[in-house]
Amino acid sequence: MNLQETAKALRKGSVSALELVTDSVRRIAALDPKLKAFITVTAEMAQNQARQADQDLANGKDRGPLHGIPVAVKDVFCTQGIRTTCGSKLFADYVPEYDAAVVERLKSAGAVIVGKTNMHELAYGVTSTNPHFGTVRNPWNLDRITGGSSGGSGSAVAAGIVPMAMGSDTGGSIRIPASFCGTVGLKPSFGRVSRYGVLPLDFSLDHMGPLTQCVRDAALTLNAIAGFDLRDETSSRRPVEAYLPPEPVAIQGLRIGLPENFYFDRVSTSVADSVRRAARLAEEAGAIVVPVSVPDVAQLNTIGRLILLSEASATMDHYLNRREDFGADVRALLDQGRLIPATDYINAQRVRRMLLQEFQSIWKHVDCLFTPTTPTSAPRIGQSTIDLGGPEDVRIASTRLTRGINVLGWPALSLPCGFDEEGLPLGLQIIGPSFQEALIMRVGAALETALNLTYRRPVL
Amino acid sequence: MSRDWNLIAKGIAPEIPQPELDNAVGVLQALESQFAPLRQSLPHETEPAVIFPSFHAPEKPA
Repeated sequence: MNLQETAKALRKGSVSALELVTDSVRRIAALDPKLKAFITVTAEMAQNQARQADQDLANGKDRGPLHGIPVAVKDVFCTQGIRTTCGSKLFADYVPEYDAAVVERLKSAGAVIVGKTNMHELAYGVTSTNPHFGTVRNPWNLDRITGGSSGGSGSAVAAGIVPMAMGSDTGGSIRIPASFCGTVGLKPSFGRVSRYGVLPLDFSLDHMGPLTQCVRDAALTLNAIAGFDLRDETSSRRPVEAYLPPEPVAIQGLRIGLPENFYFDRVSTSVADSVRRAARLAEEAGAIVVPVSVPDVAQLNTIGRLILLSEASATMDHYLNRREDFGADVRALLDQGRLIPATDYINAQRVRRMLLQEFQSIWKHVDCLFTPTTPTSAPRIGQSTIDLGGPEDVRIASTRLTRGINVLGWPALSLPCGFDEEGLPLGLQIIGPSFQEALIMRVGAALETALNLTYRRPVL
Repeated sequence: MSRDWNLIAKGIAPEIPQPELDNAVGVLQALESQFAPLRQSLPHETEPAVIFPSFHAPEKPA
């Protein structure tokens, strides 16, 4: 059952929050030895909260759709009294004294946290092959990566352990695991969801958002976590909207841009075919599909990498004398960032301003964009390159279609749009202008209905 | 003018072991070749996208 169905079942009395949590914990015990999706399981705490949630509902105190729902949060979110490792040896014993803003809001919406999910070390990578807490495995094929860095969240949702798990996204870290694991993943606009209490990787590129089984569940979660937070200086004062799409959902007359350049270069045939099919279905539903030429995304990716390397090394500066405590790939990235001159970093931020203005022109012609989320389905664990007309590093290839959107700060939604010949899920990315989450959710919900893929779940 | 990454590395501590530095230099050379034309095309007056907020007392939320 997805989040919305579970919420209905709770209110009908056909299931209790305690039963839901107990089932979730049982699934973790059964599946996690294979999946390695969790770093910490909070079974006892969750069961106590679930009992309280049941009692509250019985007393007429209903906190909304997340009330009594078992959820998980990536181990990058601080949780009071529960260790928060960031997937790193450095923080293996760190027990925060406070909750991240997202955790506060989830708790106040009645959600019950059953555990902290595994991730790429320090959220700095896309494989979730974690040298300290184990390699997260993809429920669709245990020999494949989940993507990352929110790999544990993708794995847990795809495996049906929880209907929602929180992730963070600096260059695609919500959308890539969503694409590889066949879930929905939402990266909201920069400033829409508070970053307070999240162990930072990159202060100008980090975004927080949910991975869910369907678009409406992502919308319900965003309703709970979005909004201004005085403790995050980048938090927007713009009022939140109602993000849940209406039923039935209509997209007649919406202009959907299908890029003619960049986004369909060097992607697998099955990926290109699936995204184009999604565009045709949108057209059948009344949308207007408009071929568009987008400005230079490769330039966005270049400055995105430069900014990330610089900011991440600055963030981790205090720990750089503990070289052996980092995995080899993360240590290599931190070394690269240490060598970049301050002038290059500042100039990358100046180029960013120019590109922001240039890319904004897209929205004169279309309301949202359809692109693939990743160029391929999930690579094998240990695979270092992807070959689409020449070998390309897995990290660079996997972030090629997502990284630039973090530089722009726009909202982007990934949802399953098909399966390849090996039965692995493929992701469609719907990108919108800043703070147009409600619009991309509406389009996503319409597509989800048209594609009719949510019934397919991995067999474990 | 391309950067001498090895020379830059000599100025930082803790030092990066040579084999790992060689890998870093390869990546940074490639990144620099992509970034240099963008850097050179910057109009003089362009400010960074990320700017520091002024240090006024924060407003209360609406």
